[in-house]
Amino acid sequence: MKERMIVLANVSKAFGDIKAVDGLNFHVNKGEILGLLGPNGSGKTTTIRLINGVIFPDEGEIKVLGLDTVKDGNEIRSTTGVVTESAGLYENMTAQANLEFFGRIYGLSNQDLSGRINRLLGQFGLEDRRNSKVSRFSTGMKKRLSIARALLHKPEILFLDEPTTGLDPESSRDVLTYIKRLNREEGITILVCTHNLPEAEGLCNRYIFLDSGRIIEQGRLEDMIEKYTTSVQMEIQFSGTLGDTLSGASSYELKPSGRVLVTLEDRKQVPKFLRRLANKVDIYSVNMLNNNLEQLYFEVRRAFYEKTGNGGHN
Amino acid sequence: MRRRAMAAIIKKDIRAVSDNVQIWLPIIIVPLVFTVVLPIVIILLTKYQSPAGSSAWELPMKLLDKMPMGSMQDEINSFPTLQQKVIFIGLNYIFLPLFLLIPAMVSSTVAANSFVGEKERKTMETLLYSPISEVDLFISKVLAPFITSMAVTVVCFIIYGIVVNLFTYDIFQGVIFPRPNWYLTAFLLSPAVSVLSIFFNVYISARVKGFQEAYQLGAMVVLPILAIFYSQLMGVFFLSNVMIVLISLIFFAASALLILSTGKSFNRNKLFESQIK
Repeated sequence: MKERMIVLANVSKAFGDIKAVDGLNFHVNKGEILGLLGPNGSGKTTTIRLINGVIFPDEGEIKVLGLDTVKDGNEIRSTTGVVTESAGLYENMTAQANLEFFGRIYGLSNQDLSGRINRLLGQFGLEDRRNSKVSRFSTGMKKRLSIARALLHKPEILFLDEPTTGLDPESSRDVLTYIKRLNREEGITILVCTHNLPEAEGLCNRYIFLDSGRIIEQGRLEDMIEKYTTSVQMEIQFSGTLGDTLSGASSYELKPSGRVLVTLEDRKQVPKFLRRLANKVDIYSVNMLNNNLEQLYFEVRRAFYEKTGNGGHN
Repeated sequence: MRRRAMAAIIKKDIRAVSDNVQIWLPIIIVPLVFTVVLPIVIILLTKYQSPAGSSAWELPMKLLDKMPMGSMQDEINSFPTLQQKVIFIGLNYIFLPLFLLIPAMVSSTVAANSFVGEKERKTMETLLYSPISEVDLFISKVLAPFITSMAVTVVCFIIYGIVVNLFTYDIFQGVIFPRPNWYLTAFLLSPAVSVLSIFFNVYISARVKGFQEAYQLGAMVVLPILAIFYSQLMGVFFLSNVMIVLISLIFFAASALLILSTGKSFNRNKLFESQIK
């Protein structure tokens, strides 16, 4: 069994009458990127706060690296890094000064710190802006600096709360690339909260779907797709004469510029269908339409609300 | 490690103020008025105005009549001229409570920035995610305004001494400042005022929305100082050495009460639940 970095057992937390987190049970394995997905107010940020021991659960128990979040908060926090949704940097200070400040808070020695700062600024493409005040940074640069800050003390677990909110597509891609590289090259375990599903899809190994503080589904993308989707929808770009090759489909629709939209009743039919088609026409692309995270997300939520008889939103 | 982290926070909180002209300009102007401009105006007024019928002379003389303590009265009566008496009373006693506005305002401004400002800029959250203990964080955040306030106070004390002695030397043929009551003011009452002002800011920091509001509410700390100022003018009491010590003790006691009622709420859990959205 893989080493479990974080374990939550029956964790609940209420603010006044509102249950922010309601009976959470999940774990995070060493070296994985776990995605915490859900609409605003589903308890994602509260979960990060609970795991870092900055708020305490009303019920249940949370262990991080075997330590209890209520008793050993500071010990846990010295092994975790958190990138909050707002960058949480001092705008009146330079990039370098921000990193020096937080380095001292984390107890790094001066030599360790200067080496670490140089490395991180280089890694995040900020070395030529080290002496600029953060107030003059773009949102993307602030986010990168914020991640660099969270990595100063070489944490074993990194928490990212909506890491790409407010970023333009390039900055988003940069940030996602850095996150993946961190995980791959340094083996850092990462828990990322997001409602940006297309981004999460390329990033995470495993997902937890939250709604009103409860887990409505969790698992690997492939497994969940297997579970939730029976029929398959795909868009095929081809050239040639189709003939009767589409007869195996439950429905199809011809589109302009040599494309056809095909629905198969069962995933298991896909290989056979495509083989047959490929024998007749040249296939340029096959685009699966309902096996991505976004489709799954809505499917999971729909199924959940059907089961619970709850109207829900979205 | 602890000390390094605390020093980093103190340095950062002081820099947050010194980097921001809008914050430090009022901090500089108020002391400048009270330690340089006003004393010079008073001295010059007594120099070039005849005593008879001038309102500027009435107040200190009334005060002299009400002075309860024999020893101080003796000291004042030892000056031969009316001008000397008036200047001595004005600079040594009437000005004393006004001088307290300096530690009050400096510590209040820095504390508002350090507690509420940090929360408002959402950096408190990042700080609380670090492994620093609440006690260390609290002490650092109290020390930053205290150190700034005491540094400004001591500098002002020295400037005031220089201005007063420089402009009155020819009148008294000697140095009249500082007397023991001013040492007590600078090194006992001013720290007491600073602490009260800082703890009052901690108290309101959990109850206000932003820095501006905290700053305005924090200005309430000038009320007890103005009360002292007017009480002395009305002859309710006189700022003798004993009185200064007594007021200092009252301020320290009030600070202790404030911090006992709010200190408990300065922990991660409470800060996150009540203040960080």
